[in-house]
Amino acid sequence: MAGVKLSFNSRLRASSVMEVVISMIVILVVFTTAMMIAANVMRASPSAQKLQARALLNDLMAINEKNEEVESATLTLGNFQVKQDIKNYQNEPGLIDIHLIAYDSNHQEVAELEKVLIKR
Amino acid sequence: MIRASALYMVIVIALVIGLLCSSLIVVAYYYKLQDQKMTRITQLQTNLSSGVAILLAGQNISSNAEEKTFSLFGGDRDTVSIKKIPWGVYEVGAVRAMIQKDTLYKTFTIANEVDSSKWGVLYLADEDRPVSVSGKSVIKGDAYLSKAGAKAAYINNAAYEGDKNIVTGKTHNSDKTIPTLDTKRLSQIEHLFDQPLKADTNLVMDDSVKNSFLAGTRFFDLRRKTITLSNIKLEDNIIVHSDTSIIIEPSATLNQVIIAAKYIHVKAGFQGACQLFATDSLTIEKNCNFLYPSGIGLYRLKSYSYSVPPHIFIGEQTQVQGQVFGYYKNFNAQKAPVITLAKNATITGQIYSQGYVELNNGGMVKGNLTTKRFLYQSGYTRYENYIINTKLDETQLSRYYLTSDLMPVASSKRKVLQWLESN
Repeated sequence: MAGVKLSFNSRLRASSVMEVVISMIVILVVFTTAMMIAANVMRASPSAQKLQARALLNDLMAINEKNEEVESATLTLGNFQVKQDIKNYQNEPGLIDIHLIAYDSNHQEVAELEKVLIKR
Repeated sequence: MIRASALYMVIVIALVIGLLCSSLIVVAYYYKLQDQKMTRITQLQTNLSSGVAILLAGQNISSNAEEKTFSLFGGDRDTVSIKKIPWGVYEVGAVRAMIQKDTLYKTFTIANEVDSSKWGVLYLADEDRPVSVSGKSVIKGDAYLSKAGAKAAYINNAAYEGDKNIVTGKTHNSDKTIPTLDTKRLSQIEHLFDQPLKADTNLVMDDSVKNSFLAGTRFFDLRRKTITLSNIKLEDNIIVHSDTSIIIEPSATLNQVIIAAKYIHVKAGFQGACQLFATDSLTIEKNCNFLYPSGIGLYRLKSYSYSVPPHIFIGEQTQVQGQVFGYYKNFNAQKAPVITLAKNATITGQIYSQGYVELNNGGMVKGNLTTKRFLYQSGYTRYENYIINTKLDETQLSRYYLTSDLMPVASSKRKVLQWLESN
C-alpha cells in the first residue's frame, strides 16, 4: 500500500480463496454494470448520423424556400434517402406544406422536418 | 508482514469505476437534455416560420386582432398562435410557437410589395390640360399624365432647366379620376376615431409606456382634452386619441404608436417612427424626421358647412419616410384635401392626395406622388398644375421599399416590413 516500504525479504500473506472469489465476483459485477451503462449512454445519445440527417433536411428546406417550383420526390443524398412530400396547406392557395423524412441505409427513419412555405 | 488484501483493492477499484460510470451518466444526461432543448428550439423556430408564412399569405386569417391557436400539422408538438392587428396604414402580425413550457414569439409589421405595372413616379388626373414644369425640376420615372402631357414653362422669371424630355421615363395616359384608396383599410383607419370600450382617459407625462403587440391594444382616449405630448416615451401597441387636438413636442419619443385626433401639431425638431391621423388638419413644423415606416394621414369623415379644406402641412427641411395621404370621405371639389410640402421637405415613399398637392422650392418626392391637381402659390398668384424647382424621383427609392395596401399601387403579395419583437 502507499507509504509502506516494500521489502523483498518480508513475507507477503496470500489472500484466502474466499477473499479472491468474492473479489472476482465484485469486479465482474462492477465491470458488467459499467459496460451496460456505457452501452446505454452510447445508444441513447443522438448519433452523428441523426445530427447529419437533421442538418441535411434543414439544408434541403432552405433550398426549397428559394426555389420557384418544388415537387414531391424521393432523393438520395449521401448515405440517406430523403422523401419530399409537397401538398397544399389547408386549402390555402398561397401556401404549401413541405414534409421531409430522411431514412438511413436500413430504411429506418432518422430525421423529420415539416414546414409551411409561401408559394412563389 | 504485508497483507495481500484482494477484496480491499477490488472495492477501491469498484469505487473508481462507479465514479467514472456516474460521471458518464451525468454527462450523457446533460448532453441529452441539451440535445432535446436544441431540437425543441429548432422545431419551435420552424413552426414560428410556418406561422409567419400563414399570416403573410393565408387568406383565411382576418385582420381583427383576435388570436387563433391551432396545431399546424395535427401533431402535439406543433401548436402555434397567430393574430393580425390592423395598425394604421399597415398591419402587425404576432406569432407564438409553443412546445411544452417553451415558447418562441415574433411580432412584425406587414406591408405589401409594389405592383410594378401600376407604379410610376407621378399620377396626375387627366383634366385635359398639361402639367407645366419650370426651374430646376426633375420628373424621373414613369408618369401617368393627361393626353396633353408635360410642357416646359417660364414662370417667376425662370425657365425650365431640366432634361429635355421633361419626364425621363415612360409616359402613360391617366384617367379623369385618380385610383382610389382601399376601402377596407380606410374603414379600419376610421375605427381609430371611435370611442373604444376600454380606454385610459389619463396619460401621465414624464412617463414611459410600452405595450407589446402580443397583448391587447392599449387605448388612451383623452376625450375633449387638448394634450401636449412632451417628455414621454410611448412604444408599440398604443393608440392615443383625442376629440380635439394633440400637440407633439420634440421631447416626446414615439415608436410604432398611433396618434388620432381632430387636429395634430408636431413641433419643430421631432423625430420618431409613428402614424398620425387627423380629421381636420395636420401640421408638421420644420426639421422633423419621420422614420420608416411612418404614416401621415388626413381623413375627413364628416362634412361641415363652415369648414375649410382638410390640410396637411409638412414644414421646411422635414423628412417623412412612409406614406402621406389626404382623403375626404364625402368628396367635395371645393373642400378637397390639400397636402403642402414646404421648402426642401422630402418624402421618401408615397403621397396620395384626393385633391391638391402644393409643392414649394426644393421639395422632393423619392417615390410616388398621386394627386388630382398641383398647386403653386407665389405671392398673390396661384398656379394650378405647375411644378417648379421640385424633384420627383422614383429611382432614389430603395428597391426593397414596401407599401401599404391602402395605396392603389400595392400588389397582393405581402412581406415582413420590420421585425418588432422576438425572443
